[in-house]
Amino acid sequence: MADRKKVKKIIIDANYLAQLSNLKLSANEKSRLEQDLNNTLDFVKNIQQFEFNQTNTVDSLVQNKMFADGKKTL
Amino acid sequence: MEVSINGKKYRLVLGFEIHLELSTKSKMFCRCSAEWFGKEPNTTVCPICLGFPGTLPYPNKKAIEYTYKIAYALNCNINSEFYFDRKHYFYPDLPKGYQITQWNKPIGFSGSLELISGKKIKITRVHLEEDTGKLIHKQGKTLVDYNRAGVPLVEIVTEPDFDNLDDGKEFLENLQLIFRRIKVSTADMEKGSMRLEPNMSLAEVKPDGNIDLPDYKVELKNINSFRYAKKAVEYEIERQTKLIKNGKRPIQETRGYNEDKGITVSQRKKEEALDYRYFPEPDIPPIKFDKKELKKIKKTLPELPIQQARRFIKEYFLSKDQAIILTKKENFGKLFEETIKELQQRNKGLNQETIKQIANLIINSRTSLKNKNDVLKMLDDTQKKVNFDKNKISATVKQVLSENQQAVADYKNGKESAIMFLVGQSMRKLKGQAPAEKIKELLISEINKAQ
Amino acid sequence: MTDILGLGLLELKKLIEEKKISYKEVFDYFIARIKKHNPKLNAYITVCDKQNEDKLPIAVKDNFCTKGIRTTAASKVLDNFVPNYNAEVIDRLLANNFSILGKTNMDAWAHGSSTETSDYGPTKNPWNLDHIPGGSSGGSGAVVSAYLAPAAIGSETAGSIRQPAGWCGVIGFKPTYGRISRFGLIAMASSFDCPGPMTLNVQDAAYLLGVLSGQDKKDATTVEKPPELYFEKLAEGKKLVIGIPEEYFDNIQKETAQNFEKSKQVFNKLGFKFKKIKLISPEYAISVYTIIQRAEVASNLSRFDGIRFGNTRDRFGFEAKKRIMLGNFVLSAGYYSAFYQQAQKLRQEIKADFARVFSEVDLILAPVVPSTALKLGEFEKYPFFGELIDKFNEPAAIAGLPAVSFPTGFDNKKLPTSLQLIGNYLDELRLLQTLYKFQQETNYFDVIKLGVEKWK
Repeated sequence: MADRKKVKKIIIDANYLAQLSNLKLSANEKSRLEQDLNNTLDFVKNIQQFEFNQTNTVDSLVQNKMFADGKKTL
Repeated sequence: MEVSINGKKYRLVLGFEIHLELSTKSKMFCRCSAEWFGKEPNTTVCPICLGFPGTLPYPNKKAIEYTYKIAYALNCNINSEFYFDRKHYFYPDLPKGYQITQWNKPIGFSGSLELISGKKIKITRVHLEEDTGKLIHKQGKTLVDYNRAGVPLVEIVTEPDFDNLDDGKEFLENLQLIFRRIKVSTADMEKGSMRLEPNMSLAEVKPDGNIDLPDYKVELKNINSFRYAKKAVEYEIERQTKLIKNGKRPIQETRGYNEDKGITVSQRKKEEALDYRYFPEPDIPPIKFDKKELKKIKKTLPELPIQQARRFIKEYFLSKDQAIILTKKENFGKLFEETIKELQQRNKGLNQETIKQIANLIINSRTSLKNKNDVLKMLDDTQKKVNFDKNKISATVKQVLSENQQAVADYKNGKESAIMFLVGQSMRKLKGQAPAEKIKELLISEINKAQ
Repeated sequence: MTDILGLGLLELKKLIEEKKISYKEVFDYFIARIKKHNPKLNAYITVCDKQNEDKLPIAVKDNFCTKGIRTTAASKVLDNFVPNYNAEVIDRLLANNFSILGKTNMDAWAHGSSTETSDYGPTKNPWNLDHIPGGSSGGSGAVVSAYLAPAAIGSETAGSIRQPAGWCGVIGFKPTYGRISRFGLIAMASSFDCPGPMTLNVQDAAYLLGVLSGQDKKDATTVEKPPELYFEKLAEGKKLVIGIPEEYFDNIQKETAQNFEKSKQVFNKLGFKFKKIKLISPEYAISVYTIIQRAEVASNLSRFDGIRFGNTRDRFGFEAKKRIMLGNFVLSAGYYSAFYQQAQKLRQEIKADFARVFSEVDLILAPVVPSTALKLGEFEKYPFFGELIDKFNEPAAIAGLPAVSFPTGFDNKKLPTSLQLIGNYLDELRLLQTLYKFQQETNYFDVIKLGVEKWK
């Protein structure tokens, strides 16, 4: 069952991200960063194209499947 | 509660966010003592609640049980399986740079609580999280005390179902009662174990009498008592009314209440809302409570104050005020019912009068009534006193009548004022120790008897 | 004194018990070697040379908190950080008669596959000082390979044990996620991080696994099921069916592929059967891993604000800043569902993919890295080099599966080639047993032996 989530053009706002991350960047770092982040994002957005076999709900990512022996009771 | 602005009617739309510190022994994610109040700064801390590198959270089971208890008390739907989320923002009192809380799957949701009038207030959610440290401002410096960081905190959010402040006050007081009754928290506003954040707006009333929820709400922070909550909301109503009157729309924002000045001050605009970047807490796997355990927790719930009050009104025909006071103190209600049941067993004539007497005795008791026997003894004494008084009044009345034959004759001849004279005389003799009505009654009945 | 060059942990233990050598002699021996060789290799950040205990020394990666011993995670942010608590791994080592020989170099915050992002300078590959040892446990790999410690503890998020073990020509074991407690391990990506041993032989790895494994009440993600008798049962085990994901072997370095064939023949000779299997393309694993890891990294590094410990955030290196910002990006409103959630969904697919495959085979044999050790500075061309080079390691890390990398020979530059065996959840014992048979048969084609001798 295809599950395609199309992402519109991604805009990296280095200033906003730096603020969100509580980091200060030099002008040089900023431009290098924007380039690197864009390159990385270009690659990883291939996950949008994946043809899913399972019907996964948001919850199932945490329930039961994230850990080696599944759910635990305290 | 409605105001008229520029010829249109506006109604108050009010809701509450309540934070409750649980009275567990340990903190939420480490085994430090949760009893932080009044301790020397940074003495109930450890690497975990200080967020030191490599440390990991391990959930406190008691805290989770308490949260389920609260959710059941508030008639919530329950998630028997839940998980925690991380909520990110930077602030010195937040050691990890994120708070472990619940965002996506709260323990309780879609609950309700009734006011004594029967009006239902909807509870949006009940969830569990950890508290932050405290900032202390001293001599121009800001210091951080992490004693409170990691203490278990339950957040309760209501729908904006209130349209007046009295209902709000009743609701909050009832909540406080419930938390103390089910023994999950001291729910003390002065010590900060119960915190309030009202949120409110003014909504235009439509021709059919209904309202649409406005596109803004103002959240009020820094409120340390029910009284200040009322004052803050009242101030806000005024402030927002002025804005609307002048053609301006109030904006969505957080405002802090300044108790010295009695005003609210803007803190943070919600459009610039921080992006908390919630995602499921990877250090804590999902937690599942089995149905048996949950049943056990639900069973431990005592009868809640409003339920009890409404039952007292229905079963014992008490007044609303009597019922509320009797259910405020846990042992009052218990004492009341035990006494009634005892009398029922003894098959002593239990009438409405006696029930009311018992209620009042307990409500007015200055000496502590420890058990039903104490109450019954006091009831006995009171009745004896009433009887004694009855005899005393009777004797006095007879005496007054015999000493004031003329007044008696006057009354018989239709002079109404004569009876008042006789009452006055009796009162003087009794030194006012009997109700005038009673005396009047007796006088008239004696006079009629003699005929 | 008996020549102990190249002896593993358990061999040293035996000699000490036989009174052929003393604890002090062993300790002094390694300190002398470190003083002589570490300046060239830069494999240690801190050396604990003042000790007088009857314990066997072991090296530990510098992201494990050691009480009273500086712990930096190779970052200037923690340059002055001395924990007053031990990681659970450290507690278990100390309780089992080990002492900490030193804290090994690593990529700062474990962000990398080269140990070049360390704020304390890169570690060199003992096989060729112009080459990198791999990372992020590059220091641990190098000290074992050059015998500057009898064994080392590393950590892996996705490849950080297996890859440097492969490039340094030693054994690197990544257990099932949750098998060993993460308490006190400076968190990189919480749902991936695994402590693990890096050793000269499989017995030492099995022994250390036994020491370190087990549920820990301080780490809610540890596995309840008690560990098996890894060391005791090492020589047992049946012949198993090993799956080979053929696409993994496309486009890898010639010698790595040749040595794979050689090793395959050994397994055949030992009675193991092979079966072709198909796994989801590693290209997807790279994306899934990059997204989820960076999100967790951004979150886990939020606590470093200089208020309670360490230095302020301006001391973060560029790589750390990059990862934090991309992590926050994929978690931010508007992108969370398209990136983070999507990646988590795909994570489930990858787990299910392995589950399907493990119903057909017992173990999986795969390359560790597409080539042998790269030269210093080569990675700068790639914006996410670390994740690209680890594409064969990411799938098992994503699924939380155990795996072990081991040497298989050399390339024409005399750099070690390697292979890995991947097992199902909590199947550490069969991995170790299988590797034991291989070790008995080949001694890893003397790679480990030659490595130690190189640094006589």
